[in-house]
Amino acid sequence: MEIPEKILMSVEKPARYIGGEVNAVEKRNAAIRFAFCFPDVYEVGMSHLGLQILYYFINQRADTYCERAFAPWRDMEGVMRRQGIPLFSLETKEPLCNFDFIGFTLQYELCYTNVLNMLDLSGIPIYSRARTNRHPIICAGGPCAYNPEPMADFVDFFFIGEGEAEQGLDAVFDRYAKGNRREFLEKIKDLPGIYVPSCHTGGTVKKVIVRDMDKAFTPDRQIVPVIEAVHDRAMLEVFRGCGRGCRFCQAGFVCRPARERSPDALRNQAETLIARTGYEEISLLSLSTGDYTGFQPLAQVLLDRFAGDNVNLSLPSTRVDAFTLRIMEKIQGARKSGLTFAPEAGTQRLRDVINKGITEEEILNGCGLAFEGGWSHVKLYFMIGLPTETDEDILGIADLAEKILGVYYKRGGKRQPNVSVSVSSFVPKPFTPFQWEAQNSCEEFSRKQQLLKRAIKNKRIKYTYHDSRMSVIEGALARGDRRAGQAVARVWELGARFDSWSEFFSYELWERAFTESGLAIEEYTGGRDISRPLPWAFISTGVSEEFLRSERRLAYEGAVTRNCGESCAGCGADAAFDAGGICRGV
Amino acid sequence: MAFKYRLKFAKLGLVKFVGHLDLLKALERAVMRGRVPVAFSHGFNRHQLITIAQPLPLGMESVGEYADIELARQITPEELAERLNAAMPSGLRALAARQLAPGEKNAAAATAAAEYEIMFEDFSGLQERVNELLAAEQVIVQKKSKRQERQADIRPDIFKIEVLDARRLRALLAAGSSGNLSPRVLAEALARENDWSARYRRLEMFGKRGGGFEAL
Ligand code: SF4
Repeated sequence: MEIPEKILMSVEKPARYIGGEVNAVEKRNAAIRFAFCFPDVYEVGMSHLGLQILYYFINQRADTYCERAFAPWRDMEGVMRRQGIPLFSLETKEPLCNFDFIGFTLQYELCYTNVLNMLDLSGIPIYSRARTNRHPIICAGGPCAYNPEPMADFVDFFFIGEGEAEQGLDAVFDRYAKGNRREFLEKIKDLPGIYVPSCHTGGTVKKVIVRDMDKAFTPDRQIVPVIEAVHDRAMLEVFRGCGRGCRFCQAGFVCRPARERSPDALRNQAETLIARTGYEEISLLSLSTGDYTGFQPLAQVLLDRFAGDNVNLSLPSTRVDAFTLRIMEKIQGARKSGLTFAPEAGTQRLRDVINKGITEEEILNGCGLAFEGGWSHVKLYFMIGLPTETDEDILGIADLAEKILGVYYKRGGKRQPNVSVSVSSFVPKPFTPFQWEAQNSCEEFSRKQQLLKRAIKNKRIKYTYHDSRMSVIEGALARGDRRAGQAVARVWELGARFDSWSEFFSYELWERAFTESGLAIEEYTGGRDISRPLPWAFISTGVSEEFLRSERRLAYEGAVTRNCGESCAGCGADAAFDAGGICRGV
Repeated sequence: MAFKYRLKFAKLGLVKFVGHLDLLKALERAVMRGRVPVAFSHGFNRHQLITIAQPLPLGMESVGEYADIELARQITPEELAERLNAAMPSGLRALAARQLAPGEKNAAAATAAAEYEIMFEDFSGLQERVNELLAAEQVIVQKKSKRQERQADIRPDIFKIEVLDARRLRALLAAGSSGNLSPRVLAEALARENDWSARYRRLEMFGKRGGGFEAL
């Protein structure tokens, strides 16, 4: 299909729709065509490591061509609808309805309306049951697929886990034959990690993971976006999963166990990524990069290797010690952008409840070191609405920020210090010890936001908070059941798109959609009966429900659980994956 | 010791929808992939010493773009072009390169004129209209800037127009800091009230030389 130029001339950032990037794959005569869809705008989707991995993983197969599509921005959607232009892939500009598979990655709940919109723009019925043999097979994966129910009416099959695993997506393509969707879905329904809502007869769907990160497929290149992406740099995944066990963190639990890559493999990958992308920056990615066993030598090796080539390193600075600071000093622009801490809660009591293994002393010491090293800007991330939280915990956020300023002045800092406090709203997520908790209401969140606002008096403290109404809808969908999908379909019909963008999000629209579907938001955000099964109970992440219950109990007692690197807490993930022995400590 | 080169390159096809700053990024990354021994600025935010002569409006193609690039060591101009071509994104192509003479002005400062091809979708009586415009002493257009609209005479900025066929023309227009005329403004002025949908291609950019122009 040729995209009329006039259309591209009429929209904002037309380069979102042109493809042709360095390292994009060209392929002819592939039997199977797969459209990898990221249900957000190009610049966001292209920043995503999972897209880059799966794109090249699928394209390794000679018989399969993986192309990309993103959610067209609202101006482009308008033009496409007016002129009857179907959603197309970036590589060949082929309408998506002509593909064999359309695969969505579900990274956050507020992208669900974009999924439906992309299907509709492709001329494909949004409900699975309305599709026929001439329509593509619609699949989905990613973190939100761990609770597939709200999207189960729209998706033909879900893939739970890591697609590039040995038992991953290849098995699906191997069984594919054109023509009969029913037959195909029957054939794949019992494969590891596969959930076919229309054929599911009970039984557990267990996630699929890569056992050995060094042997797993790792791309030696990245598609280099033609317009600046949100994260526009070489991405080096140092490990997957996380052993910290922060009790609010869904990624931490569903991605267990933590699996590291070796420093050699990382160094080699950095070499080829830089050579093939021309990026000027490498970032070390994982859920908590400072925890990587060989963090110091790795950072040092990369700095030494690339400094001469003017390639910068970017480090998430959650653990601040003398070494990290020394490294950071060598990193361009690091002083300007400031240091980042995520205490998440304002008091030690609450940090123990959520098992955030960072103490006030560590934060203050880290800041002290940083201030001595010439830093004057510190960013702090917190959450409000955490289980057991009281107003004292909220006020503790202001106290901590004040104490940090105090440290600055005590160390004789001469410039104007800046402490920014960024506060988000807690969302209870499936497969965490807090999956049964009630979420705060919008009113309660606002009250707490204002309470904190009044408590922060110093002008050197910059306070920002997120729209808690978005978090409430996120919460309702995160713990939604099959019926919640009706609200998603309804709100999309009412015009909701790009709900993760505050300029487009409308709480009123969602409220109306829930009501018109005969549902109440509070029904989903409220506390859950711990003795009743949860809608996502048939999915297994390897972490036992018993462990989650015990973590919940410990949370209420304010007792911390040590991270996997120190000692195994027995979450079950190790035993769940075959012979065991995946976990370092076990 | 600095080694300064001038690169001539083409921007064709869909890449014409990549704007100026993103284009600069794309060139810088091609420089890295192609292992061009580029020189970097010193100081806090180090960056490659590359500058593009003049931004090309979004949506226009070109076979006459220029950029100046400073290298840390000498290589032949041919090697520079080859290294870049091995690494450029689709639609971008190095056409030629030369080493700058000592003391030569940089591309942006030297730019005085640019030649464009304008391809109208439809235009009745193009030749007559061009004759009329060239014969006029003044050609007044509304120039819109961010805040205000003002009238401007663009006649002095039109150096030459050559009609190629019923719908196509070639125009040499002022470019650079001491006067700049966008071919879109010319197209609109030619078409008056009529539809002026057209495609544009920059063909060449010039500096002043004696009484005339010389390609950068
Ligand atoms: S089995 Fe033990 S070491 Fe492995 S992820 Fe669970 S708690 Fe951590």
